[in-house]
Amino acid sequence: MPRFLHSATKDMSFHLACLLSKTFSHLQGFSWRGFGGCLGTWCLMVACMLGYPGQADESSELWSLKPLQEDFLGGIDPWLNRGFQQMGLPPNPLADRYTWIRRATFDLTGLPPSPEEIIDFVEDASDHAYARLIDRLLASPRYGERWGRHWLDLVRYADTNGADENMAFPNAWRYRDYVIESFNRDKPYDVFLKEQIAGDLLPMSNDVATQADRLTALGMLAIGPKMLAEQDKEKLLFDVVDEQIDIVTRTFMGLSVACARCHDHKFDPITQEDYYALAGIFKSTQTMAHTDHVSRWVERVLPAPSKQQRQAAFDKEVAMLEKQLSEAQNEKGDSTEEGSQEASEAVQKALDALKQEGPGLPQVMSVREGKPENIPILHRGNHLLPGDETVQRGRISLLEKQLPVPEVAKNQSGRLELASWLADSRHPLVARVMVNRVWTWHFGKGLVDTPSDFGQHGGKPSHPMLLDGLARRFIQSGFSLKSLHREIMMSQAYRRTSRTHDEWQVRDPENRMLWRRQPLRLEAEPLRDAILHASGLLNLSRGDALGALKKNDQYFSELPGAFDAPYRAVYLPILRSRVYELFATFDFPDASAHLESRSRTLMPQQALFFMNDPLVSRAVSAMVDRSCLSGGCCVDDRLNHFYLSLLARLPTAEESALFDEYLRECQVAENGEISDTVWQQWVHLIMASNEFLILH
Amino acid sequence: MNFLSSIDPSRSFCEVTRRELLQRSAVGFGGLALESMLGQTQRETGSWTHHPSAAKRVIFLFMHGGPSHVDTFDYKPLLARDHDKPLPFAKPRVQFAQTGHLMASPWSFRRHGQSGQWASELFPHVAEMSDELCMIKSIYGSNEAHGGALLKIHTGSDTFVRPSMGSWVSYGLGSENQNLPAFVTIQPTLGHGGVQNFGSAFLPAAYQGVRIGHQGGDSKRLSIPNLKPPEGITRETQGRGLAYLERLNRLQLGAVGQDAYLESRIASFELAFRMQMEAPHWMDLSGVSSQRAKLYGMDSAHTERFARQCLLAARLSEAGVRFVQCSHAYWDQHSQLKKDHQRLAAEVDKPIAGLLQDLKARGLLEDTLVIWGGEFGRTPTAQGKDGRDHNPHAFTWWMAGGGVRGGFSHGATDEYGYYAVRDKVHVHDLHATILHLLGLDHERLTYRYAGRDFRLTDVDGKVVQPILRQTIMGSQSVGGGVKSVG
Repeated sequence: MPRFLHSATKDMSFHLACLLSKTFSHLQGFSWRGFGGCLGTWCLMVACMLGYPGQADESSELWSLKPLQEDFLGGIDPWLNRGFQQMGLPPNPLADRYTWIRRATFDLTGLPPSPEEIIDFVEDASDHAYARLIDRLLASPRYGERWGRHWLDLVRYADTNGADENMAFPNAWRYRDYVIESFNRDKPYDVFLKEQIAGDLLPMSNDVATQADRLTALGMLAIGPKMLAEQDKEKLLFDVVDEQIDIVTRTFMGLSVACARCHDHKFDPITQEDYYALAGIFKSTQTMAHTDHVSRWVERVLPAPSKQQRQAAFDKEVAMLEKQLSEAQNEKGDSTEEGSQEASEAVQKALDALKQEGPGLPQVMSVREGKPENIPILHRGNHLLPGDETVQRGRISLLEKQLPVPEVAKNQSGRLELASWLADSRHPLVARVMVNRVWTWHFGKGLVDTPSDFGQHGGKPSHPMLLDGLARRFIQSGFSLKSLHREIMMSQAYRRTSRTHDEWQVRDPENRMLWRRQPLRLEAEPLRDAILHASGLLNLSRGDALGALKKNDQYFSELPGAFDAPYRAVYLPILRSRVYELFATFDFPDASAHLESRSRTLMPQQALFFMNDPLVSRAVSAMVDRSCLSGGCCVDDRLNHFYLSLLARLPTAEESALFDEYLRECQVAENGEISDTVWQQWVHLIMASNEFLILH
Repeated sequence: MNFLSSIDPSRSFCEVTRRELLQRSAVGFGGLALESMLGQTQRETGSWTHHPSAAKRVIFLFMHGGPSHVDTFDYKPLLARDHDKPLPFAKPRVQFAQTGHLMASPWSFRRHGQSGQWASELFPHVAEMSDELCMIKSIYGSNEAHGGALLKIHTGSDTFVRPSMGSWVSYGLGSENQNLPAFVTIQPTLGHGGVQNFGSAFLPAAYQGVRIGHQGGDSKRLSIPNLKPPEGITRETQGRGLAYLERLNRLQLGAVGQDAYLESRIASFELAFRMQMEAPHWMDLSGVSSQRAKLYGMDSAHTERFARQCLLAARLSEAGVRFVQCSHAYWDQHSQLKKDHQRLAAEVDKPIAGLLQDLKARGLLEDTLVIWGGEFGRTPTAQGKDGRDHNPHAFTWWMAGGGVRGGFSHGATDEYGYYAVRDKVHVHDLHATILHLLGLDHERLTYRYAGRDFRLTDVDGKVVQPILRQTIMGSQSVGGGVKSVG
C-alpha cells in the first residue's frame, strides 16, 4: 500500500473507532450502560493503537521489540489531548495547590507536606512555584527512600533468606542503602543496571567508594530466597540460577523468561535455548560460597576504609548492641513470651561475636566469577536429564538481528556482555519498561498496565507514541530518572483533579485516557510513615532497626520490638518468614518474589487498624499534645493545624459545622475548654477518614 | 444505617473492572467483598463451586517435624523380624543424613474398630476413632529437608514461591461468615518457609492466612490483632465516633463524586465494627462447658496446649471459617525416637480424638474435612542408635469426615515402609483431592499471573477417587464456570 494511503486509512480508522466509541457510550439503557462503556473503551484503545505506526503493520512481531519511534512532539500533554479532542470531551481541570502539594510530596518522598510547606507553596504566586517544589522534593534524601523502595519491590529485597532455612542476611542492608543512594544521586539508569549485573566486571575504578558500590550492587543477584538445606545440591544451584534469570529478565526487560526452563515460551519469542544461554551465564557465576549440609552464600570484602573509620564504626555498633541488650532484658522482665528470651540471647550472641571479631572489614552479599561453562538444555528443566549438546552462553535469539548480545569471552561468565546488551540505548525493551514503571508509580497504572510483562499476553500501551517518546527522552537525558520525574510532574496530566465525571465514567471507566487523576490508596510504608510523621514521632535518621540481625547470621523468625523502631519504614527489617502485620494488612508484598506493582485491597482489617491499633492511638495523642505548641491554642487554629497536617488543606465550612455539632454532643464544658480526650477522638476520626488514606 | 444500599450496582460495575475488583477487594477477613456489594453473593454463601461439595471446610492438623509412619499407622511386621539387618534394597540417591540398618518399632500395633485399621500404642484415643479415619499410606513428596517439604505440602512447590493451599481455598470459596477470616492458622512455625506456608504469594493479599500466635508463643493469649477498642474507649463511644466518621467521609466524597472504592471503604468500617463484636466471642474459650473442654484434654497439663488449638479450630469452623490449620511440633526424632515420639503423641492424641468426637456430636464432621499429617515420614532404617531420618518417599496421612470413606485404607509402602509402592499419592494428588472434596476442580481453580494461569497443582494432580465416599462424576458446573481472573 502506498505510504500516504496507508496513513490516510489509519487516520480514517482512528476517526471511525472514535465514532464507534461515542456511539456505544450513548447506549445508556439500564443494562447496556456497563456494556457500552466497555465497548467504548475497547474502541478507544483500538483508535489509539491505530495511531501507532508500528502497530498496524503486517508484521506479527511483538510491539515491544520494535525500535523506538522517533518523534515526541513536545511533551506529554499533546499526546493525551489528542485523545480528548477525538472523544469530544474535556478532561478534568487542574487540581488546586493544596491537593497538588500533598500528591507531589507523598509521591516523591512518601511523606505528607508539613503545614508550613503547604502555606509557603500556596502563597507563592510565581509561575515557578511548581518547578521549585519538584526540585526541592527531588533534592531531599527522602526521595531515595521512597523511590528506592519501589525498586526493592522489583528485586524482592529482604533481610533474611526465607525459603526453607530463614537465616539472617547480615549484610543485605548495604544493597538496600546502595539503591536508596543511587536514586538520591540520580545515578544514570544504564549505570545502575550494569552495576547490579556486572559491577565486579566493570573497568576498575580508583575511587574506593565507587568500587565498593559496584560490589554492593551485585546484591541484587544474591539476595533471593534459596533452599539452603536442599540436599540435592546440583538442583539447588540450578534453582538459584533460575531465580536470578527470573529477576533479571522481568525487572529489566519486562519479559518472563523463566518458564522456558522446561519448554519454549508459549507466547513470547523465547526459546528453551535462550533460557540455557542465560543459565550458562549465571551458572558460570558463583553465588554460593559452599554447598555443605546447609549451604552458604557468597560474601565479599569491601575495599577498605581507613582504620580509624573502622574503629569508629565498631564502637558505634558495640554501643548500639549494648543498648539493645539492656532493652531486651527489661522487656524480658515483664513478658512470658519465649520470643523475648530468644531475642536477648540473640543480641548477646551478636555482641559476643562482634567483640571477638574486633573492627573487621565490611562485607557485602555479592557474587563473583565462577568456572566458565556452557550448559546443555535440561529435559523438562530436570538437571538429571541433560541434553547432548551445550548451548553457547549469552547467545540468545531475542533481538539477534537488530542487537545481538556481544560474544562472551571464553574465560568470563558473560554477565558483562549481558549487562552491556541491556544497557545499550538501542535496546527496545529496557528504556520502555523503566519509563513505564516510573509512570506506573506516579499514576497508579502504567501506559502498559502490566509493567513486568511486555510480552504477547501483557497489556498493550494505551499511548504507544507517548511511551516511546518518553523512553527516547529518558535515553537522551543520559538515563536520568529525576529528569523523567520533572517531565511527568510538570505535565497537566499529573495535575488534574480526581473528580469523577458521568460521561467519562461511561466512556472510559478505567481512565486509560487519563482524563482524571486516579485516587490512590497509600501503600503500607507511606501510610505508616505519615501517621508517625504527622504526629512528630518519626525519626528521619537512618537509625538501626536491624540490630542483632546485622551481626548474627543465625535463624531469625522473630526480632521483638524491631517493627516499633521510630525510623522510616524502608529501614525496618524485612523477615521473609514473618511479615510485619501492619504491612501485611496493607498489601506489603511477599518479599520472596519480584513484584511489578502493589495491590490495593480493601479489607475490614484495615478499618480495624484505624479503629483500634495502638500505633494510631499513640500518634493521635502525640499530635494533640504537640498541637498547642505548633498550631496556636485557639480552637480554630488547632482545627486548622490538624487538617493541614493530616489532609493538607483547611476544613470546609461544612466540616467546621460538623465539628461544632460533635463538640455539642461531647458536652464541652461551659467555659468552652475542649479536653484533650475530645480532641483526640476527633483527630482519630480525621486520620481514619478516606482522605487521609487516599491520594487525590 | 445501611451503607450497602447506597451503592448502585449497575453504576459501580462500570467504574471498576471485574479484574480489579477481585484483585483488590477479595474476600479477606470476614469476606468484605466489593463484588458481594455488587449483588454477586454466591461466593459469600458458599454456593459457588465447580461441582457439589462434600466438605464445606477444612481443619488441618499439621505435625511439624515429620512423625514416623512406621511407628504410628503404617504397620510393618518385618521391621521387628529384620531388626538390625541391612535394608535389602537401595536407599535413595539423595538423603538428608546417613542411616544404618533396619530398626524395629518400639511400639506394638493392633487392629481397631469394625474396620480393623492398624494403629500403634502411640495413639490410643485416635485409634478408637478408626472407623472414621481414612488412611492414605502411600504419600510421597520430593524434598528431604524440612523447609522444602513444608513448602511442598503447604504450597505445592519447593522450588517456586506459590500461594498456600488455604489461600487457594479462600480464593475459591470465600468465607462462610462475613465477620471472620476465611483462612486461619493457629500457632504456625515461623521457620521452614514461615509465612509462605500460609501466604498468598501472587494471589491478592486478602487470601493469605490470618495468623494467630506462633509456634513457641503463649497459647493462652491467642487472638486476632486489633479486635479491641483502644483503652478508655467504650463500644458506644466508638460507635458514635464511627457515625461521625461516616458523615466526615461523605463530606469528603462530595469533592470527588461517586467512587466505588471510597464508598466501599466507608462500608468497611461498619463490617469491622460488627466483626469486633462477633470474632472475640469465637476466640474466647472461657465460656466453653467444662465437659466439652475435658473431652479435648483441656484439664490436663500435657494436653492443654494442643487441646486449646483443637477446640479453637472447632469453634472457628463452626462459625464458618473455611480453612483452619493447627500446628504441633516438633516431631523430628533423629535420635531418642522412643522418648520423644511418646511425649509428642501423648500431647495430641486426646485433643485430636476429642475434636473428632465433638465435631461428630455437633453434626459437623459430616461436612468438615479433618486432615492429619506431617511434611514427610521417617526412615525404617536407624539414624544413630535410636533415631530415624527424614523420609519424603513414603508417609501416612489420614482424613476424616467431609466426604471421605471412614474405616478405609488406601495405598501401601514396601514391606519395610521405605518407599510408597502401591497406589502412590503425590502431594499434588492430595491437593487435588482436598479441593475436589470442597467442590473445586483443581484444573479450573486458576489465577493469571505473569502471563499464565497458575494452579495449586501446577500441571499435575489426580483426584484420589477410591477414598471418596461418593464418587462425584465429572465436574459439571453448578453456578460457576471457569474460576479464573483476568
